Amino acid sequence: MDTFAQAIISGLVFGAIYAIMTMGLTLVYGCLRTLNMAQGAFGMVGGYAAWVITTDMGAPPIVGLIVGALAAAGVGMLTHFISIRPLVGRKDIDFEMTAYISTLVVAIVFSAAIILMFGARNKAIEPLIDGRLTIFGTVTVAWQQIAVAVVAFLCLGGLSLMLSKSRQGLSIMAVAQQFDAAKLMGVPAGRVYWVTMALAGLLGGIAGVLLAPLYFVSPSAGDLPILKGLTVAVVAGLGSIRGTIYAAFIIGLIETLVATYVGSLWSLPVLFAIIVVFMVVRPYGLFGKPEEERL
Amino acid sequence: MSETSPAASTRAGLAARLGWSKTPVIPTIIVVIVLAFIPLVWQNDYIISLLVLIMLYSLMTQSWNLTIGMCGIWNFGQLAIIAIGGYATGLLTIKLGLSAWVALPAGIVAGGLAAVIMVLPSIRLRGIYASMLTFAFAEVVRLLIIADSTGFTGGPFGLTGVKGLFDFLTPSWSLRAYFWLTLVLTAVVMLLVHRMMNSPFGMGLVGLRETIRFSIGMGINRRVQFISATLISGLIAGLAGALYATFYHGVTPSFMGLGPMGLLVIMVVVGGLGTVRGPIVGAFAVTILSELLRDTVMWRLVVQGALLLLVLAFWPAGIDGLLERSFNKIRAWMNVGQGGEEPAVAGASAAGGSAVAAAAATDDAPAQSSVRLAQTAASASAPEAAAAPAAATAAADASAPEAASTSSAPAAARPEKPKKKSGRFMAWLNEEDKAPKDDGAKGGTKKT
Repeated sequence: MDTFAQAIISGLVFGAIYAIMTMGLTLVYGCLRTLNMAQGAFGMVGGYAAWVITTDMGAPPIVGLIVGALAAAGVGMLTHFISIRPLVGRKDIDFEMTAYISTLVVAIVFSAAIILMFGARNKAIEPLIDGRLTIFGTVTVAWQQIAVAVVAFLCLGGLSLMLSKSRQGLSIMAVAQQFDAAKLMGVPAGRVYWVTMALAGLLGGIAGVLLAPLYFVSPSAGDLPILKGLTVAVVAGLGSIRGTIYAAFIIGLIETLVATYVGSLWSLPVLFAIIVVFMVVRPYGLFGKPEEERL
Repeated sequence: MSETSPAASTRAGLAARLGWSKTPVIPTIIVVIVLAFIPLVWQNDYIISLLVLIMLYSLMTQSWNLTIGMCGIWNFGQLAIIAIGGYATGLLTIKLGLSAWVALPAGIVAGGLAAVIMVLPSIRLRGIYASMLTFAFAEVVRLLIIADSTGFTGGPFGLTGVKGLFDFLTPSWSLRAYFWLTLVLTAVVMLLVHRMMNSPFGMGLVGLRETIRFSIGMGINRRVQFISATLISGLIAGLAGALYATFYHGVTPSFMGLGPMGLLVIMVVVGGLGTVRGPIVGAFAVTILSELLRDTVMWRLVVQGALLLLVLAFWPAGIDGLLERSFNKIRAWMNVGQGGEEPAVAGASAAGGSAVAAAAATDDAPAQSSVRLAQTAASASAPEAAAAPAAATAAADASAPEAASTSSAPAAARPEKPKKKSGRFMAWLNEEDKAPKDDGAKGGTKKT
């Protein structure tokens, strides 16, 4: 019972991190209609920025979180301008696939650049808050986990406020829903593109900094999150914001339960088996609409 | 069109109409024979092993290009197929003690089967979804091998002690034997792929890639086409993997990781997606580039990635397309100089360029040359029917009516070999409007 409760709690925490991670993918897919394979790299860059700030400069962890998120947002914008902007609106290429490939390569380049700058060794980063909170009996929660959950919910709430209230957010939604109509209504699509990428970078960076104390900061720290983000996106249905949140928690719970009761080596194969099953049975995900052409 | 349609039923007639190039068997054999002397002349084992690696990479990229470039199936799990070929061969030689020569065909078959199993569920999925499914397949294979603690596949450390194909030779002769074997296999695979793409079957694949609804409407069976192409691609991948495992006497799951995948993606795209020579050019160029950066290993990926981004932004057709375009430009320029009849094929941009040249030339040259230039420019862009007359009229101001009449005639009568597969297909499509229906249907559906 205690292990079960523990697994549920850590599953929910991981779900929260995956939710903000995948939200970046979802937003970019909704707006730009391509998968941003560099999303994991944003998290990795955020983790390194936070590590530099907190360890080298001795800033408090919360500053590390903010700086990491901002650095990742900058990297998101950079990714847009070097790998997506040159491809937008071209007739001679398939934008979706070319952007997929170029962002994938950008992710690889970022991790190579990080190795150049910081070396390949793992870096440990201190959590936002130390210590554990005992709930009942032997079930304890690390304060870090609570902090992660709080930050994640703040992010999701802020994002939903932004998307539904602010001018910038509304223009993102407009472009996602109907590109041509949005453009005709005077929405600056070019700006929406890079704002979306910066937002995706911000979310990825926050997720990266939150994940950093649980694993390590390393040049390949972005690989696993992007794989899990893809799983979540598939289960949710690409481009579905509400679905992303549900699916992130489902995937987080499944992952920790499998890791607890079957063995941690099996959690990833199970996740990918889920992708395969979803692709075969329900390619548009749990919450997506079957809009894709299926001949 | 009427004079070509009787001949179109034969392959030669069809090939002439569609601008298929003949499979260059004789030149390839000559090149292979010339290259085969390298290890005898240049006694440098390091260079030879590097060349073997390039051949192996070009086999891998060729197999991948077949699905991702030719068919437009977003296959991002090709490395798993290659690794499955390698693991099958390795396990057979280690666990059953078979000779590598027996295990090699088994690896090829394993690759083909794995590819079909992987692509079967993704056939009905569109682009990005198929990519995620194949990606997930590859990850499942990789993680299952890593998670294997029974020692059957060697777990995260991989298989070691795989028998080589030429173990009975001394190491340096074994290396040379590998060089000759991979050289011949690369050439054979290239010829086979070339022949396949210049056939009704390949035309069907390109058609499915370019305009899927129209192709299905024409009666092309998508499943049969995709599964056959995937099978062929898997067989080549299995061959590459089996050769890799026997050459390096081992295979590790890290071979399926993101790093090698990035490397292969860079090779395929830099070489030229969807072309026959592209993968070989790309494998060669990228491997040479990494060797040049040998002293600064860390910069390798950064430089290669930057190269890919540049290629994507400026020459989406890759190095192969770039070479072909500049070659055609040079040829067009030489033909103009000699007053030759052979039209240049360089698309709309070249047409615009020639038009400008023609306008400049009118000062000293007589109007005749400007007419010829306009004619060349117009027939060059036969598929882009709208661009041709515009360029022609703009160029031949002085003798406008004559130029228009002479240039439009060859452009309509004879679509000169457009270069890209897509252009070729579009030419074929445009022809369909005027030609009787049964011809085109035969061309598209024969193999299904």
